[in-house]
Amino acid sequence: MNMSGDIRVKTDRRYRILYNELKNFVVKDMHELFFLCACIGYRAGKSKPLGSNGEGRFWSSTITPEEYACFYAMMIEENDMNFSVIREDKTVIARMEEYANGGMEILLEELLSDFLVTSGDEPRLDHSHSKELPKIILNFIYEQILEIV
Amino acid sequence: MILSKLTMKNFRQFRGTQHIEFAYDLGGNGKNVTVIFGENGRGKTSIFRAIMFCLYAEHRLSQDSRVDEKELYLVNYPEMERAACDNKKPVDCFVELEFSHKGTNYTLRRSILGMLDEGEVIQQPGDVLLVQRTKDGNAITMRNPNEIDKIINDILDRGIREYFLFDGEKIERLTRASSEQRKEISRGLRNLLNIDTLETAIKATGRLKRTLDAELERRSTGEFGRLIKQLRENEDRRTELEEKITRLEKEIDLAEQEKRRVDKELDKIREIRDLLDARDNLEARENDLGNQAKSLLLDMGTRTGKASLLLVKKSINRVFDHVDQRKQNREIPSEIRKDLIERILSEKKCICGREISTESEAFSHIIRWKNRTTDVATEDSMLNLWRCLSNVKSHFGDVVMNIETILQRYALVKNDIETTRKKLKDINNKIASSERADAAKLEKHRQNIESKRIKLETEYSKIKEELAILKEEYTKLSHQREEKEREEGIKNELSKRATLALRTYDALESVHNEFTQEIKKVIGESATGLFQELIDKESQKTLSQIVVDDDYSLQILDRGGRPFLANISAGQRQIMSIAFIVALAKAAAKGEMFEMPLFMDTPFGRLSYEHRKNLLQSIPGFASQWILLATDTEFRKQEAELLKQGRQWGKFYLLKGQGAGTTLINELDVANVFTVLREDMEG
Repeated sequence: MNMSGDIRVKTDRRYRILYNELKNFVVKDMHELFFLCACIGYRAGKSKPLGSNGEGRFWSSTITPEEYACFYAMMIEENDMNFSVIREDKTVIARMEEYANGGMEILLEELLSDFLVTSGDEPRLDHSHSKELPKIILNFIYEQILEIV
Repeated sequence: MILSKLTMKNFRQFRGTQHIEFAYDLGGNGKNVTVIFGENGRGKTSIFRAIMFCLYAEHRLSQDSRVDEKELYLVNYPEMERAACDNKKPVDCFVELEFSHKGTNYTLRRSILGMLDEGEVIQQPGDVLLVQRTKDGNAITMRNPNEIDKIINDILDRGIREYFLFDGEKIERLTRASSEQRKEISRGLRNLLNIDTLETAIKATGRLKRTLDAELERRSTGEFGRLIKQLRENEDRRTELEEKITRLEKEIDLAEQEKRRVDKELDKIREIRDLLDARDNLEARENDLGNQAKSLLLDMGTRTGKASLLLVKKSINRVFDHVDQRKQNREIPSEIRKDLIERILSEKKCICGREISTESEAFSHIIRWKNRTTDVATEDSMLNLWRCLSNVKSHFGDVVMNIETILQRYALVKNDIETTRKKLKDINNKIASSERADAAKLEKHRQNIESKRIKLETEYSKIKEELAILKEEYTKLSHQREEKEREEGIKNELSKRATLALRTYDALESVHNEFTQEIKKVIGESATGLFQELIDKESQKTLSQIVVDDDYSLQILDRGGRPFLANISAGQRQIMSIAFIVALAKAAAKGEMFEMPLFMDTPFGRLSYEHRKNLLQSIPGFASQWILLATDTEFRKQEAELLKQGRQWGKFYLLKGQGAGTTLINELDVANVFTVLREDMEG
């Protein structure tokens, strides 16, 4: 649990453009989108290994202490409160990459499908229709919170 | 540009020949402030109008949009009446402005003739004359209006004139610029900052690169040939789209011009003027609400990251509670370290030296003890995580409240937009069904132009997006090309030249990007510094930073780094605009004093005393020349005293009524102005 800053965080190469497009629009930075996807994936119990599709997206130095703390909490909870699993940040990030990958699939299926254009393998935003996306995503989070409460 | 003298003959209220000499730092006397003081209706705005007329031949100011051209007299009316009775000759009216720019002195005189013919005012543009006197004493006289316009535009670009010559009402609107205004401002700024020269160099290198690549494509085969082909196709498509963008920009401009022309035509139809006024207000409201919605969406983007943690709130609570429980049970931090217990167990010897048998009760106790303790590293992790999660948990309430507030505010703004649009539709229908057939026809035409404009804008945005994607792909392909070149050892002369051209092009583009980013950063930082100096203490607590967006429009961030422009008051907007103007001038002057007057017509109307005080104390130091047009309610003894303390106030003019339609300009010594100023308890 060092909150290491030297890990290259990977995401599926097919989401390269989407990560770039959603940055500065729906979120401020890559690490926030990764965090959002990881939280969505974890909450839904959906993780998906990156396999050979993994591609370095950003450095872990941008991950905030709050985000790191949440990653550790998710890791510990899924391992029956075993705290030794957070000893290696690389392991934690690797697991979060799987959840973020699963979370992105949920985002695509449930929220983004109406705002995408197909171009090759990589989904892209259709900007002419996605003006309200920041509100739609924030609203999605809010509805999920209400379910918790 | 530094203004030295304004002479007006029979211009508006100023009958006969009258003049104003502006204070400027002559011979290093440090006096650079001129105050022109007068009650409402005495002709302050006419002085502003005289300068705009002289420099740009403009008859109308933005505030005249509802005034019929025929009702706007630049020539003094009593003088035209006198001439109509006496000699029936047209009245000669002119404005002459003397100014200097980069060591050259200029005298610009623009005339207009006016006469009354059976009660109707007829005005006709007269001559324009520019005399240019260089340092060595040579004088060049110019009479060609196009040539003169070009020189004036080079000195103070028409696109940015309102940054330096503005009236109080208008300045606040700089922060609400329409897309058309922003484009114009951006063009002016790019000229001011000399970015256009760099852009020309990029275009030229781009052309050379394309020629070499075309030749290379013809001669290359295999994977390398495929990459070259893809790069060429990407560039061809981008060129095609850029041309489309230029065409669309022109079409949008034309549509906007046509809309303005139709609006002018509609203005002439008196029966629908009230409806037009209401429509103007509603359109402004719709625009304002649109900006608010945009600002809120931007704000939401800055909150999503933090809001996401709520999705795993349950897990955070569970892990926190788990550690917390163990803390309360005093299991952590352990009283005795786990490694010590393990040593005791393995050595079967207590720290006091007593032997412990494995069958003894003490041994079983120690085993149980060991199972409760945690190793040092894990224990540290638990305690650290407990602290971090405690911090995360403390934000839960705020985060939820922020989300609720912003979503509610957005819903309200959207609702307002819908209501405004509905009202606009009703008004448009009323205008279209006006009893006057010409009004209905014009309105129909206006609606068609508007739908066409919206379609063009949508296409414009789509092309911009495609261009951004193509640019990204181009970068990727360029890297692949360089790799391939390295792998295959392609070293022929043509390839070398093409690579060199590519690198030069990339380097120039990178310099361009860095320069524009840097300039925006510098202007933003400088504007923020000035803003903090000028704004009142209360606002300083909320507002933190001015940011110049990509299109040179302005945004202000709150202490949390969120866009806040939609929420600030008109007075705060005014201060923000002034800070931006001064920052811009500083950037253009590259750290030195920028030679441009700040000409402000009644800027204090919406400002509190603290803001006025800050401006009066700071602007004389920021600007190379400050000309302040003020009314008796905004410039009182208190304000005068503050200005006097700065020791830069050089001139004071009093505009005094002299019968109907006539104002006399009287110069008073700055030391004696207090006799004509009001005293107020406020402040």
